[in-house]
Amino acid sequence: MMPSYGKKAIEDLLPHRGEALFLDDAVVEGSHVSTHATWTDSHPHLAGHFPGLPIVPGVFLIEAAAQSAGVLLASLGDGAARLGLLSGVRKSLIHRPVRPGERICFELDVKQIGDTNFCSAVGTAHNEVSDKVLTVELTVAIVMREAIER
Amino acid sequence: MNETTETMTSALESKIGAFLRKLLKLGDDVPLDAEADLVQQIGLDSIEAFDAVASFHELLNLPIPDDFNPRTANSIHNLSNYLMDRFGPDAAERFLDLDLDKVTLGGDQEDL
Repeated sequence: MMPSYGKKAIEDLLPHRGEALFLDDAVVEGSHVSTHATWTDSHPHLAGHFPGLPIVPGVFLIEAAAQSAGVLLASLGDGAARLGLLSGVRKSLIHRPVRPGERICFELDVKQIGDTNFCSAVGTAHNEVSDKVLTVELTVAIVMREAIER
Repeated sequence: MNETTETMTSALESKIGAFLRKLLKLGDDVPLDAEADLVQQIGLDSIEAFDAVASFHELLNLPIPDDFNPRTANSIHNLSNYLMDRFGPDAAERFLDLDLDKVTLGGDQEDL
């Protein structure tokens, strides 16, 4: 059975909270993770981005993809003790604007690169009518939380 | 090491040095000793060293092997040996044939 996580379960895996936690749910299947994120009109950043024309910032989409990779990495056994930190954006294409209320589905393949502390997270995101909104290739550093708490 | 291999190694090390200078935007005044550890001695941070390896593979359209050990590619000399040992002389020739002025490396788009 594929591990699936709701918002509360994601909070056990990621340190993000409040408006900084973008993911609503996640399903992990081997090295693949599927997640959903929706930004509402009430998100504090959207009032100014842009006034009268709220558009989800492209960096939010990239961050949501990074959080998706983080869920997969944390689900591998160490839970929230094992953090995936975004350390590189090797490629990002934002295909169309995302408006508040759109439910965005992220599909990413996450793979550790050899015997390094880095993973690649490669995938896309689509809206509810299957329009592609994001193509992304991230580098995610795997760190133990205690190593950066010092 | 025979003369042909020595010439190839020397050419590869020189080309890898040029590749790193372009990728990391290093001036010609920054010395790049082929034997120097990229992190400990040349001063790359861990993501720069990883990005160098990832970009190196991308340029050659080669996947990073699942058993890749970063210690085998932690200097220009070791990166040269890694390329030869892991992917053979054909890949080395392809790398030598690359025109680094015409390839796109990470950060190049900042210049657009």
